[in-house]
Amino acid sequence: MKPNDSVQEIAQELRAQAVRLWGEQRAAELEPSLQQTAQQLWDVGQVTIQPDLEPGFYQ
Amino acid sequence: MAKPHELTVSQAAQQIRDKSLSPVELAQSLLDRIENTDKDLQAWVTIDREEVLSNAKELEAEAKLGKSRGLLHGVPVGLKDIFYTAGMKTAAGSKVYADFVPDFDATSVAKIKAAGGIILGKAVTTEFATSDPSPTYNPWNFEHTPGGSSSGSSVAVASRTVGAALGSQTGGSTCRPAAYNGIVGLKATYGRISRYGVVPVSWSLDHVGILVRTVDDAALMLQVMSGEDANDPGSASQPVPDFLEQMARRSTPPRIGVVSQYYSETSTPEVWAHTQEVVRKLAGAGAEVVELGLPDSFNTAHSVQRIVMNVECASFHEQFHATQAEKYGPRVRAGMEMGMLIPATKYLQAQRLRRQFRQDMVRMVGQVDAVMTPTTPAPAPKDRNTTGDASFQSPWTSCGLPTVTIPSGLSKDGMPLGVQFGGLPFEEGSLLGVAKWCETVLGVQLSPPNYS
Repeated sequence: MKPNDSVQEIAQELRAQAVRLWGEQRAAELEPSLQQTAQQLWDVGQVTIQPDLEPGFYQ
Repeated sequence: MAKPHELTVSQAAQQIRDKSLSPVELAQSLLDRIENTDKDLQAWVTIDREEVLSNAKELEAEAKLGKSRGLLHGVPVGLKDIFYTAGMKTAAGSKVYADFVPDFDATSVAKIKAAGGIILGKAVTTEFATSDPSPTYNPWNFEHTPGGSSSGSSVAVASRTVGAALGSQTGGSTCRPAAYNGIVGLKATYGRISRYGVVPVSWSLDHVGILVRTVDDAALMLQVMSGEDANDPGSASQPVPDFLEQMARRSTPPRIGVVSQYYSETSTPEVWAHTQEVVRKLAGAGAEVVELGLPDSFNTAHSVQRIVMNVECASFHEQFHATQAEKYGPRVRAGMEMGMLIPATKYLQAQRLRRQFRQDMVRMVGQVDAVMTPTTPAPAPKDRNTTGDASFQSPWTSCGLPTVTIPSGLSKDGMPLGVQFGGLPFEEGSLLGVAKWCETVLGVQLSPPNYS
C-alpha cells in the first residue's frame, strides 16, 4: 500500500490479500466491506501527522 | 403508589433502607415482570430464579437487622451477556462462546455484589457485542430495531423488568440503544470502570456502559463501579470522587455547547428540529448556549474508530476464526476479516490520529460545561435487520470522553428521541450535574405504552 494509492488501488490490494487468505468466493462476499475499509484507509492516509505524535492506545 | 418493578434504583434502595420495601418482594416483582413480558420482548437470556431469591432473602435478613452492604443493598441489576459471572454461562450471543462458563466475576460484577446488589440475570447481546442484530424486540414498536449491541439491557430497563443493567460501548452500543428505547445511558471516561472480565470487542475502545431510567441512577451505578483495577491495563488511577455530591453542586443553569456542523447535515429534519427545540427550552430556563465548531481531526474520527476496532477485534478472534469461521454472524466475521487485512502501519496511524482527536476534543469541550448533540441521527429505524447508526456516538467513544444520553421526546411515529451530553475526561460528576439539570428542565420520562 503506497502513500498516494487511490481508494480503488487500496481496495484492489485488500481484495488480492483476501483471495490469498480465503479464496475467490469469500473475497467476493466481502466486496462491500473491502470497499469501506479501502475508503477508511485512504481517509487516514490523507492526514499528515506530526512526527512527535505517539499513538494513544489506553488514553 | 408505584409497584416494586416500576421503582428506579435510587427509589428501591431508599425504600429498602427505610424498611418499607423488602428485597424479596422487589426481586419477586421483577421476576414476575420478566415472566410476563419476555416471551414477547426476548431481552433476557439467562435467569436463575432460585439464586436471585436466595440472595434476596439473605439481604432482606441483613436489612431487617439494619445492616447494609452498600448503595445497592437488595437491589437487582441486569448484565449484558458479555460480563463474566462465576458459574453462570457467558455466551456473548455467540455460537463460539455458547458453552463458556467463567470461573470468576468481572470486576464490575464483583463491585455490584459488594455493594449489596443482586445479579438478576444476563441480558441478550448482539453477537460479541457487534452489529449482527439480536432477537430482542423494541417495546415501543416491534417493527423497529431496539438498537445494539446492548439490546437486551436497554429493553429490560425500558420495559421495567430491572432498574439498571450493564451494557458496553465500543462504537455506540450503550447510548444508541438507550435513546432508541427512551432511557438514560452513561458511558464514563475510558479507564473509569474496569473492563476486566468483559468479553472484548476492541481493548482500547471498549467501555462498560450503564443503562438506567434517571440521571440519579446513572450517578449511583457509576459510584458503585468506578475505580482503578490492576487487572485492567486500561484502568485509570484517578481517585473516585463522590459523583452524587458533585452532581448536586449544579444548581445554576449550565453553559452548553451545541454543534450544528455535521450534526445538522446528518440528522433527519425531524431530529434536528427536535434538537433545536430542546436547545430553546434549555436556553429559556437560563442555560447559556454556545455554538462550537468541530476540530479538523473529527473528519477522520469515524474511519479511525473502524480501523482500530476491526484490527483489535481480529486480534482477539484470530484463533477462533481459524477453526470456527462459519460459526460467526456475517457482520462480526466481515469486520474481523477486514481487521486481518489492515497493515500494522495503518493501525498505528489510526491510533496516532485518535490521540490528536482526543486532545482536540478536550480543547473543544473545555469551553463549556457540556457539549450537547442529538444522540442519534434518527429514531430507531423501522428495520430489524440493523442495530442502527453509531455515527453520533462513536467519535465520543474513540476519544474516550464521557457521555450521557437522556430521553427528550417522541418522534411523529411515537418512537423515543434523545439528546447526548459530552464532558471532560474524569469529570463525570459535573457532566451528570448538567444532564440532571436538563432532565429536570425537560421533564421527559418515557415509558413504552404497552409495557408501562
